[in-house]
Amino acid sequence: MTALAGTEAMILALRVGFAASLYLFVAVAIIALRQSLATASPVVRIAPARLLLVRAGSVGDEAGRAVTLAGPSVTIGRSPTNDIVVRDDGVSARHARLESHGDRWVLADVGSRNGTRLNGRAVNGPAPLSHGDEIGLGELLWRFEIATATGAKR
Amino acid sequence: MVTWRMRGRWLEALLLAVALLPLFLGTALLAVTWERALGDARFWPAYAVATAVGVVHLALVIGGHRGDEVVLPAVACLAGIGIVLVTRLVPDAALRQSAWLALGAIAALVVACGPWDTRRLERFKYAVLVAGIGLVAVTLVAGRDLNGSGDRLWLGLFGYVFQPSELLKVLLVVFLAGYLSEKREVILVAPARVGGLPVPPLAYLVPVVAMWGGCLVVLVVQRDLGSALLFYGTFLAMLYVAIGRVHYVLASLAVFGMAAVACYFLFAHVRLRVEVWLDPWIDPQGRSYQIVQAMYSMASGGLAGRGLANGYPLYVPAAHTDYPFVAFAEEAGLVGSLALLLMYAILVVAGLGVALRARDPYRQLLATGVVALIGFQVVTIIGGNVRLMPLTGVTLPFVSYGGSSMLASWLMVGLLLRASHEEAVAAARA
Repeated sequence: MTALAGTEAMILALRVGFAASLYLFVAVAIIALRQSLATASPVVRIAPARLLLVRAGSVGDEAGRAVTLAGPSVTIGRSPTNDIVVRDDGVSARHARLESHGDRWVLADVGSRNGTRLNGRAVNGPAPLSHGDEIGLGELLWRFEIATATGAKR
Repeated sequence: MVTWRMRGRWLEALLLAVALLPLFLGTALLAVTWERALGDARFWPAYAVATAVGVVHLALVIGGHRGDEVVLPAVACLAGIGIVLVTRLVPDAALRQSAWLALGAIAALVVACGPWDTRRLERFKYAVLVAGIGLVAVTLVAGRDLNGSGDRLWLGLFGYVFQPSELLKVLLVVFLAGYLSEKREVILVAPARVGGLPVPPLAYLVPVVAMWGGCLVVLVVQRDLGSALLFYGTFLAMLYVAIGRVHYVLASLAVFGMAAVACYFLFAHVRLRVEVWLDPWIDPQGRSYQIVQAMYSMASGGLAGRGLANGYPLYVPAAHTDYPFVAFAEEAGLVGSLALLLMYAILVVAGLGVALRARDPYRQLLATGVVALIGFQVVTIIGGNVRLMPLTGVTLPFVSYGGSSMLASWLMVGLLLRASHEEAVAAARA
C-alpha cells in the first residue's frame, strides 16, 4: 500500500518536474535569445560609394565633382527635387535612379528622354554597378566608385 | 533584470544542461511507470542521444566554433523529447532512431566545422540544382512504396531505405539561396514593358514557373502533398526576404492556390484528404479512422495530460511517424504540447537572429531558407495533427520517427551553424 503510494507520488513529482523542465528551458532560451537579438541590430546597409564627374557638359559643374551616394535610393536629374541636381540640356527633369541593395548598387533609367548609358550602352532594365563603371547622362559622364574597392572584385 | 553576460560556448553549455533535463526526467518517468531500472537497455537510446548532443557541443568548443549559441540547445531539447516519445511509443525502434540521430549530428558537425566555405555552395548552385532534379528523377523511376499508400516515395540503397524528398528540401534551400542572392537586383526595380503591359523580369518568372511546375510534379506524380506545400512555402518566404516586394509574392501564391484548387477537382487522393479533414465522421472506421482516433487521443490528454506511458496514444495508427504531436499532447497535455510549440518558436527565432545578423546576402538567405523550411514543416504537420488543415505526410523535425527526416533536419542545423559562424568570423575581421 505504502509502496504503491510512494510510486504514485514519485510519478506525480516526475510529471510536474518534466513539465517544469520544459518551461525552464523555454525561459532560459528566451533570455539568451533576447540578449543575442539585442546585439543584432537590423540596420539598412548601404555600400559606401560615390559618383565622380569625369566629363562635364558645356554648362554646369566642372569635371571632378564628387557626390557621395547616401542611399538607399539616389535620384539624378535637372529638377531641384532630385538628390543629385545637374544642369545639362540633355538630361531630363527626372532622369535616373541609383538604388542600394545589400552590398551592391543598381542603376535604372526612370523614363528619361535621351536615355542613360552604362559603359557606353543604353540602360534598359535595372543594371548592377561595379567599381569603375561609367554612367552617361546627356553630355555628362560619371564614374561609379566603391569606397572600399581596391580595384579587384571580391 | 537578468544581468548575466554569458557568451559563446559557455552560454551554450548552460542552455544545453537545461535543455537535456526533459530527456532525463522523461526517461525517469518512463522507468518508474514501467517499473524498470534506469539502466535498462530500453533507455540506452535516450542516453545515447544525450551523449551525441554533448559530443557535438564539445566538438564545437574544440573546433573554435563561433556561431549561434541557442540553436544547438533548442535542437537538443526537441531531440530529447523526441527520443523519449519514440522510446515510449515504439521501444524497439528507439535504438535505430538514436543511431540516425547520431549520424545526423555528425553530419551537422562536419557541415558546421569542416574546412569549407558556404561560398562554395553559392558557386556550385546549379550543380546542386542538377543533383536535386536527378534525385527526383531517380525516385520517379525507381521509387518504392513502403507504407502501402500507393505513393512511391522511398529509395532503397545498400539495404537501407531513404526518403529522397527530405534531402531534396536541403538542396532546394541551398540552390534558392544562391540563385536569389545573385538575381535579386535584376528581379527588383521597375518591370520592363512589352506593348504597354508590365512584364516581370525573366529572373523572377523563370524560378516561379519552375518551382510551380516542380511542385506540381511532386504533387501529381509522387502524390506528396506535404512536400509540395513545403517547397513552395519555403520558396515564397525566401523570395520575399530576397526582394521584399509583397505583390510578387502574392502573385506567386495566387497561381499556386489556383493549381491547388484544380488538383482538388482533378485528383481523387487530394480530394479524399480534404474531405476527411472537413468531416472525419463520414467514414470513422475506414478512411478517417486515423483522424478520429487522433481527436480522441488529444481530447483525453486534457490540460495536464495522462502522464508519459499512461495514456493510449497507440490507438492512433502510425502515431510515431504521423501523429507525434497528438501522442505528446495526450500524455503531456496542453501544458506539454504548448511548450513543444514554444521550443520550435525558439529555434525559428534563433535562426532568424542568424539571418538578421548576417551581412552577406547568401548566408542571410541560407539561414532564412533553413528557418522557413523548419517553421513551415512544423506548422504543416502540427496543423494537420490538430485538424487545422488537411493532414500531409511531413514529419515533425527532430521528434518524428524516421531516419531521412532526422538526417535532413540535422543537415539544416549544420548549415545554420555554419552560416552564423562565418558571419561571426567576418564581423570580427571587419
